[in-house]
Amino acid sequence: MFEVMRRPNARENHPKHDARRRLHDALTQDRVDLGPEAMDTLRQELLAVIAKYMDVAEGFQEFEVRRVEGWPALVTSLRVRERQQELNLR
Amino acid sequence: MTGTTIVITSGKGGVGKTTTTANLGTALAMRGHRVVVIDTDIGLRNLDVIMGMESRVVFDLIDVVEGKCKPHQAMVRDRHRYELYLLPAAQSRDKDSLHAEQLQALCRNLENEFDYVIVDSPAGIDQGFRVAISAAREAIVVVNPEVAAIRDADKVIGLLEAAGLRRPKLIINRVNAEMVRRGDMMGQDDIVSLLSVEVLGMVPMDERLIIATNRGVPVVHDRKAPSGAAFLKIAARIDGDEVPAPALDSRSGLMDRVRSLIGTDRSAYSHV
Repeated sequence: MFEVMRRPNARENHPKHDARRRLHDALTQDRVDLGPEAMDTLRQELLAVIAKYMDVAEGFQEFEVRRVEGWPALVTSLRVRERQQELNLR
Repeated sequence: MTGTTIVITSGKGGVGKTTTTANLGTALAMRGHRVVVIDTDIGLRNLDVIMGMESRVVFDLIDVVEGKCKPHQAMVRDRHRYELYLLPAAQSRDKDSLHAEQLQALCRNLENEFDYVIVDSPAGIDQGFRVAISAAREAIVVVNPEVAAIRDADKVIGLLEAAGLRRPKLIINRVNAEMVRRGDMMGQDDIVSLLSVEVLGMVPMDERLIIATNRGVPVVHDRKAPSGAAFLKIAARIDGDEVPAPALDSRSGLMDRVRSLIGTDRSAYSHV
C-alpha cells in the first residue's frame, strides 16, 4: 500500500521528467523566439490585465506555446470565479 | 499509376534516417509495391552501403539530373526484391549540384512508374534539406527519445509545415522499452505532448539491426529482429493499413493504471 502511495511522487523525479521539462521550455523559446524571462513577464502582465475584468481564482492552469494546425499558438487556461454579486442582486 | 513521394528527414544527424529509408523502402517492396529510394545526401553517400548495393553503383542522382544518363541506368535493383530500386547520391560532388526543380521533375517522373518514391534527406536544415523536401508530398520525421533530437525535430516540423508539408508524421527510433518503463527515457506520450504530431511507430533499440547493417541487408529481412518487425508495422501504416496503435497509447483502463503504479505491469512497453 505504501508502495502505491509513494510511486506517483517517485515518478516525477524520473530522469525523463527532467528531459521533458527542459525540452518544453526550450521548444517554447524556439517557437516564439521569447526567452524564459520574457515569458514570465508576459504571464504576469496578462494575469494583471485579465484581473481588471474578471475575478481570477488562481494562476494559469495552462500557459504554453503549442503547435496548433501547424502554427505556434499561445494556449492558456485560467480559472475565474463566478460573478456571485450579480447573481445575488437578481 | 501515380505514386507518392515521401521525404525522410530529422534535422539532427545520426538518428537513423538512412536506416529508416532503407527499411521502409524494403518493407513497402515486400508488400508488393514498386519502390525507389533516393539518396539526396550529395557527397556523403550512404544508402547504398546500408542496402548492400555499393558495389553495383555506376551512375548517380547528379548524372541523372544533369542528363548524363537515364534514370534507369543509374538505378540499382535490389537483389532480394526486384520491385525495389536505389538511386544513389553522387559521392564526389557537393550539395549545390542538386536543385529543387531538378529533383521535383525527377520525382514527378518516377511517380508515374513507382508506387512509392522515398527521398532520404541529408541532416541539417540548409540547402540540401530544402532541396530534399521540395519534391515530397508527405514527410516523415525520424527522432530519438533524447533532448537534442527532439528539439531539432520540432524545428524541422515547423519548416516542413511552412513549406506546405502539413502534418508530418513521426518515427521514434532507438527506443529502449525497459528504460521507458523505468521512467529513465521519454516514451511516446512524452514526445507527442512536446511535438504534437502523429506517431507512425516506435522502433526499439536492437542489436540485430547493427548486425544487419554490417551485412548490408535491411533488418526487415530478419524475422527475429524486433526492429525489423517495427519497420514492417510502420510500412503497413504508411500503406493505409489499420495497425493497432503502439502499446504506450493503450494504457487507459483503471486496472492498468493500478498495475503501472505498483510496478507489476511489466508488459506494457514490451511490444514497442
